[in-house]
Order: sequence, then structure tokens, then C-alpha cells
Amino acid sequence: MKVLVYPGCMVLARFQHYEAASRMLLQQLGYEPVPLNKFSCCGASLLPGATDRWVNISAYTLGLAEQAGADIVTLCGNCTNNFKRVNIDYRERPAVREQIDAALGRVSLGYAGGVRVHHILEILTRRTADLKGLRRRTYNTRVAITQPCQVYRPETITGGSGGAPSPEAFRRLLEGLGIELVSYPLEAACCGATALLFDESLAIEQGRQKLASARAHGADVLCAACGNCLYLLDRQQARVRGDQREPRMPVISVSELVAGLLDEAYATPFLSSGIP
Amino acid sequence: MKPERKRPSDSEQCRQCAACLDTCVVVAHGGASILSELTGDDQQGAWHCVNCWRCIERCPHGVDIYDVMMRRRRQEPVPPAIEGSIDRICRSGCALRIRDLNALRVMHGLDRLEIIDEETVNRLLAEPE
Repeated sequence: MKVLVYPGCMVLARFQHYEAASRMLLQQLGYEPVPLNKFSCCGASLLPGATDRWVNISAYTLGLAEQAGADIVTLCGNCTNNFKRVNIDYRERPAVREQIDAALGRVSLGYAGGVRVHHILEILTRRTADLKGLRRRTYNTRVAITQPCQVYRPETITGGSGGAPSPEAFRRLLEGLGIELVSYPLEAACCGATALLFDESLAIEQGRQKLASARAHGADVLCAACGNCLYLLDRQQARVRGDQREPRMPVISVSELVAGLLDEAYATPFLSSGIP
Repeated sequence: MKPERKRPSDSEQCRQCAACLDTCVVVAHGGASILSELTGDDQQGAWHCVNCWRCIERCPHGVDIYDVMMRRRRQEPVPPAIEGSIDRICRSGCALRIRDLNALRVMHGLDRLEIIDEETVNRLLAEPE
């Protein structure tokens, strides 16, 4: 199956290793990544609040994927949510469909509504048995998950025809690959990354509580499945940890964590942090 | 059974039960209330949302809070930091400034990639004729 790997702005700008690991896993699982000729934002969480024409920007990438005969694989919760929402609106709301058709027509592109959108987590959870067969090593470390809100909610958008991905499936994926998971009360709490745009103190406090909770319950590493979660909890961790009394906690994308089981090179940055 | 997703003309389906408030991290930190947005009592809070959509999952009346919040955002002043990001998307097609994009991609073994051009973004976002 052909797939168009869509990194989203955050992963494109800051987490190239997440995209690289995702591509490697998809290829190992028999998918054929096609080139993304022109990258455009999915609309983010911002553009829908500014104009109802945001769907045209999102549909541009859907049109490119359809032209290439590919499904879209996303790496971020917000992108996943936006593409799935536009797909549903395109099918169910004639006015939206008309608007998108007109906009894409202005750039000599079309869309017939046939592209399926999958977050990388959906692919990996469906193919756990295959990944298990490809595994070359194990980790001796305890992993906590930070769940990606917009991959799961609202279910009317994220469910699609195959049923919504779930936090439980994320847990089963890692456990199925022999990774020791720890549970902690804030696993499903929003990381707060989006709040960086309007209330930094709220975002930092959300991140602080999440890291502290994971650490208190024995986690050595935090595993994320969204560029925005990675940005707050990894890149902004110096601010999140505040007084710095606690050591830095490695935060790694689900693709790197899983890819590292197949090929150690993908987990090198995470392994070099001193975690066995 | 989960209520069917509905598209209220405004927020007439909201019964002000406040179930959404218990789920909201912004409210938990003393921020603007979803409920006051739904009832139209507040004109400042729609942008102050982390988009986790736990409130939609929790609402017993099937209010499409996403739809309400997005329409309210279009009526409220855009916070300056958000305005800059929106402007960047509209001008460059990308929410973030990226320096040396392809040098970074090549370093990570990724194919080169082009960002959409401003003219194409403008055409996509143009007012319908």
C-alpha cells in the first residue's frame, strides 16, 4: 500500500528523527512511502478559529495524496484530527465540498474524498504481531506513555470506519513488544502543549505535573505519539522541570522506541542518555 | 449509547449541566470557562483551549463543542501570539519558521521537500468568487 507520510509543521521543523523512524517502520511493514511534493500546514489548531476556509489548506494535502494513490499517515494528533474532520465534512456537508472543490480547482488539483488517514499509532497497533517478528532486541527500562488527545477525540471524528484508536491499544502495542510499561494517574491527561500559545504558565505546569507523576510511578522514559507533546515535554523540559533537582527524563516518540527494537541506530539518542 | 454528533445553530443544545467543566485543564488552572462560551456569557475564552476535546466526550447532550468554539473564535479577538502563527500559515503555508529544512532532512536520511508557495496558499484561502 502506498502511503504519504505527513510530518506536520512541528515534526517537520523539530523532530526529523520521529519521521525517519516512522518511515523505516512503514517500509519494514511493507508500505510504500510516496514523496510529498509540496508541504502545507494541516491548518493546525489555529486556522479553523480564523476562517472556515481552513479546510481548503487541509484538503490540498488530501488532494496530493489522492493524486499519488496513497493513504496519509500522520505523526501528530492535531494533523490527524484535521484531516479526518475535513474528510468527513467533505462527504457529509455539500457546502464544504463545493468550497473545497472550487479552491482546489484554483490550484489545478482535485479531491474525490477517497483518501484514508491513519495516525502512525493506528498502523503500529494493527501490526503488533508483525513488529514482534521483526524485533531484534529488548530494552531494560520502564516506559510511561503520554497519550495523544487528538488521535482519540472526538470519537465521531477519529473513529472512522475501522473504529477509533485507543489508549489501551497503545499500551498493548508496547507490552506486546516486550516493553515494561508503568501506569501513572496522568497518563491520559493533556500535556498542555497547545497552551504555550496563550498561557505559558499553564502549559509548563501541565507538563511539570505529568513528568513528576510518571517519575513518581517509576518511569525511566516517556513515550509520546505527537509532535506537540514532544515539543513541550522534551524540548521545553528544562522549563518544565523548573528547579532542575530531578534528572532529565528522556522523551521519545513511539516510532523511535519501536524502531529501536528493530535497529539500534534509531534508538541511539535515547540509549545514549544512559538508559540501558 | 454515545449521542450522535450534532451541529447546533449555536449552543441551544447546551443544558448548562457543567459536565464539561470537570474535564477541562484550562478551567482546572483557573482559566476561561467552556460553559460561559457555550452560553454566550464570555467573549474572551474560546482561544484559551488546549483542543484535547475531552469536554465533547463528556457532554451528555451531544453538543459539538468544537463547532461552537471555532465559530466563537471567529468572533473574538485573536491573542497576539496566535495571530502571528495564523499569519505565518497564511503567508508561508507552515505554522513554524524552519531554517535549513533540507539540510536537516538530509542529515536524518530524509528526502528533500518543498514548502507550498505563498501564491498557492493565497489561492486556496481566497474568498469564493
